[in-house]
Formats: sequence, C-alpha cells, structure tokens
Amino acid sequence: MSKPFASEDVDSVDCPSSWQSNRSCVENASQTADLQFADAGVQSTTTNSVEVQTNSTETDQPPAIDESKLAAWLNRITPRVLEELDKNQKSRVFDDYKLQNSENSLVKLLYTLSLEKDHPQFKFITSGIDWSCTGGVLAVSRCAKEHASWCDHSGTVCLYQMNRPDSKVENTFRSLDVSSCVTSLCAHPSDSFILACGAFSGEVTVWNLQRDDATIIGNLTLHSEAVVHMQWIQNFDLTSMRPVLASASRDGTIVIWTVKSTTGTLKATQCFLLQGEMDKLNLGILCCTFNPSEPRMFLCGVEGGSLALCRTDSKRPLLGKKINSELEYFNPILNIIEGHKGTITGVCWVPGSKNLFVSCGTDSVVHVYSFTEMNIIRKIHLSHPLCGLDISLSHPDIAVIWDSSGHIHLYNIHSSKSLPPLDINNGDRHLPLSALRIQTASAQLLALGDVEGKVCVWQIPHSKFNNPSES
Amino acid sequence: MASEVEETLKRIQAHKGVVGTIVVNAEGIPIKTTLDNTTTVQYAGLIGQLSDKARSVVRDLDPTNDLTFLRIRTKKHEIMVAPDREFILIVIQNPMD
Repeated sequence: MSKPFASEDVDSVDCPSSWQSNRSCVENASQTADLQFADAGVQSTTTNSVEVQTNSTETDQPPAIDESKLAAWLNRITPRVLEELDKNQKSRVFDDYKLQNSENSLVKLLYTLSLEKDHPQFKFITSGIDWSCTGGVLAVSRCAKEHASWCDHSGTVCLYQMNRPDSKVENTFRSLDVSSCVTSLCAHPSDSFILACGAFSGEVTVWNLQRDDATIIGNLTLHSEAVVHMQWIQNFDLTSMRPVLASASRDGTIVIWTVKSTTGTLKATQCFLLQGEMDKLNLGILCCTFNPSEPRMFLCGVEGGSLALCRTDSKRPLLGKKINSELEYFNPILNIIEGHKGTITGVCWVPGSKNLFVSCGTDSVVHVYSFTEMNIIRKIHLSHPLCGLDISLSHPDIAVIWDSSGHIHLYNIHSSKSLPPLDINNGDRHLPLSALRIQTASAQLLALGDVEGKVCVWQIPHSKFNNPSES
Repeated sequence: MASEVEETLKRIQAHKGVVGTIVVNAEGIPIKTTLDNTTTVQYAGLIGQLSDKARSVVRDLDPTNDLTFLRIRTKKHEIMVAPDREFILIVIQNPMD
C-alpha cells in the first residue's frame, strides 16, 4: 500500500463522446397489389294483379208486406198513439227534471229586475229582498241612497212572480205603497200571502196579499228611526202555532208584534230598548237575529261593533219609559260580546244549532261564535269589507257572505272550509251588493240586490253548496 | 189498401210535434218511413232491438203481461214505440214545439 500523501504522475485519460454517433441509413421498398373492382346488380320485377267484381243484387226492393194486415193494425193502434202523443205534448212531468252534469248544473243568471224604468229620478239601493215561503214570489224593496234629514220619498215594495211560463217575470206584478222608504222586508214563514215591512220612518206595515187589492193588516209607528231587521219568530206561547213578528230599529228599540190576518189586527205585545249599563245611552241596532231554536234569545249588532246578547223574558223595566199605558220598555241585554273592530254588518244564528252564530263586519272578518265555549271559535279574514251574510235553512252549515266588491263567499261553518266562491258577474262591473236572499223553498235561486236598485235572480245548483271533495 | 196505410201514417205525421214515423216489420226491416234512409235504418235497427229487449223483460217478469208502449225521453226528442208481433211503429216527437 502506497503512502497516502505521496506525489504521483498519472497518464492522460481519454473520454470518447458517446452522444454523437454516425446516422445509419438502410434502403427499403414496398409495393401494394393492384386495386380490384366488383359490380353486382339486383332487380325484382314481379307484379301481381287481382280483379274482383261483384254483381249488385237488387235488395232495395221493400220486403213483401201484408198491406191489409198493416192497415188493420195501424188503424187499431193509431188512436192510442195519437192519444199518447197528445199526452206527451201537454205533459209537464219532465219540466223540472234536470239532468246531472248538464248545463243546468251551472250558475246561471235567470232574471234581472230593475226599477229604473219606473223611478228614474231617484237613485235607489235595494234595501230588502225576501222570497215567499213557497218560493213563487220575490218581494223587493228599495230605499233612497241618502237621507239628509227625514225621508220624504214614497216607498214601494215590488212583487215579482217567479215560475211564470211567459217571460213577464221581470215585470212587477204588484207593487205596494208605503209612506216612506222601505228599509226592511220579511215574508211570513208559512202563509205566503202575508208580508211585513219596516220603513225608514220606523213604521211597521203588514199586508194580506190574498186579494187583488192588497189589504193592510195593520201599520203602526212605534220605532222612531229606520227599521233595520224584521223576523218572524216562533210564538213564545208554545200552544199557539202562529209566529210572531219582531222588528228592530236603529233607535235601539225592538218590538214584538202579534199579527192576526183573519181579524186584521197588528198589536205590539212587548217592547225592548237596548241601553248601556254604565252610561244609560241607547244602543243603536244595526242588525239583529233571533235564535230559531230558542226564540226568547236574540242577538243585536250595535253601533260600535259589539254584539248584545238579549232575552225577551227580561225582567228589567226601564222606569219612566213607556210606549203607552199598557206597554213598558224593558232592557233585554244579558251581556255584551266583543264583536268587530269596524261596523258590524250582519249577524245570523246558525239554524239548527242553539249555540253557534256567525257575524261579519266592515273589518273584513267573519266570526263564528260558540256559546258553549263562550268565545269566538273561528275567525275568517277576507280581503274586502263585508256587507252582510245569510244562512239558508236548506244549507244550514253554509254561510253566504257578500262583500263590498260584489263578490260572494261561501263558508262551511262546521268544517271551517271555504268553498269555491260563486262565479257571479252582476252585469258588466262588480257593484257592491246591498241585499241577498236564498230562496227558502228550494235553495236553488239566489236573489241579489245591488246599490243601484237592480235585483238579479241567479240559479245556483246544490252542488255549489257542497264541498268539492264531498260531491 | 196501400193508400189507407199511407193515410194513417200521414195522420200521425201531421200530429203536433211529430218529427218522423217509421213502421218496422218482424224482421227488423223498415217498411214505411217519413224520414231519410240512413236515419230510418238506424232507428229501425236500434229501436227494434231495444223494444224486443223491453218486451222480453216485461214478459219475463210476468208471462201474462205484455209491452204496450215504450217511451224514451231524450234531451232532444221523445221516441214512442208501439210494438206488436208483426210490426213496430216508431214515432219521434219533439215535445218542445
């Protein structure tokens, strides 16, 4: 082994370049074979012809018939056939028969009853509509739009006869004159010839329409302001079948009348005056409803939006207030129920239910109130101020509510569902409605009165009052 | 004889509201008509079948009973059929007139 730090000479080292080398070239050649072409042709040329010819046989000849037999039979049968044809022609059996799902299941405008022709000088609103108990006669009252002071118009109640075969339904068949504008109207529930109306002056008139010249059973003025509601109610004396008449006025008074059409007497039997507990001020009544199941109970919508629950068997006389020597005013208020924020426009007891009532007001809300719960059980908010409501006896669970835009809403009180609104177009534009009444007898006709005195009678199929899911 | 038959049919045809009268024989072939061909053939075939069916229903219910008239009320017409063993008389009436 040499020493590690000794000097040494080393020979030079040669490093040949490895990346540059000579390119190698090889020559090569290839040649493809000649192109080959092949042609083939196919052509089918088969044709088939078939000809068919049928010879027509003479079948148009009528079959041989025994003319004498036919004549004898025809002679025998013809009188009966003719008789049946006559019967068919006269038969009215199918007149009221409506096919389901035919055009009769549509909401249809039947008649337009307007007053314009007779009284063009005044602008009237329809103040009251009522159907006679048979549904054959529609009574309409109109009232001037505005009264600056007392009413100096002469009022009329126009009667229209439905079911007339001729097209004269739209003509008034009878008109009844009243000394001032008629504000409320009510037909008797069982005697189609008795009609009661209340006037702007507070006068209550009852007619007997049996004879051609309508006789007045009685007219008395015990209210000092316009009568806002009239209703025939079951007699408190249950031994008597005759209903009594109740009238409520804007001055806060309610009068119960007995009407005897045979002797022609109209007599006030009870008088009530709604008076506040604290301030002893009279409460003006705007709408009123009597409980159909318990006629001693009634509700009044009063000024200020609240509702007064009242009883006719009140024993609280208002001392010093008497109509005459026999009749004394009583305060019927049992308690005050909180009502609407705006003006209360309609209240109606639900038929067949003792404890439910429905009310509506200009605050666009419908209240369903239950006395068993002593509270509002449902509130329905709608988009327009509401003008009134009606519940028909034939559809006691449906409240028909109309609003200031002329729309009609249907609402099921029990299932708390709103039904599709009625597709009613009262003329070209939506006029606010002022009165509405469903025909009591069949509930297929609906009379609508607007603020221009026009009344439209619509045909409403029953299916419109049922929930779409049920029908 | 022929004129007597024609006379009677004319009488029925002239009745109020009558639109057409057809007499069909037992084979269901129309033999007299006041209507056009197509309508007659249709009525004769269809009403013939229906009246046969109705007749057999009545007789099945009570063998001593028989069908005297068959009336069909439609939205447009009333069709009255008087069936017999050998002929069927069909009268189409428009009750609205």
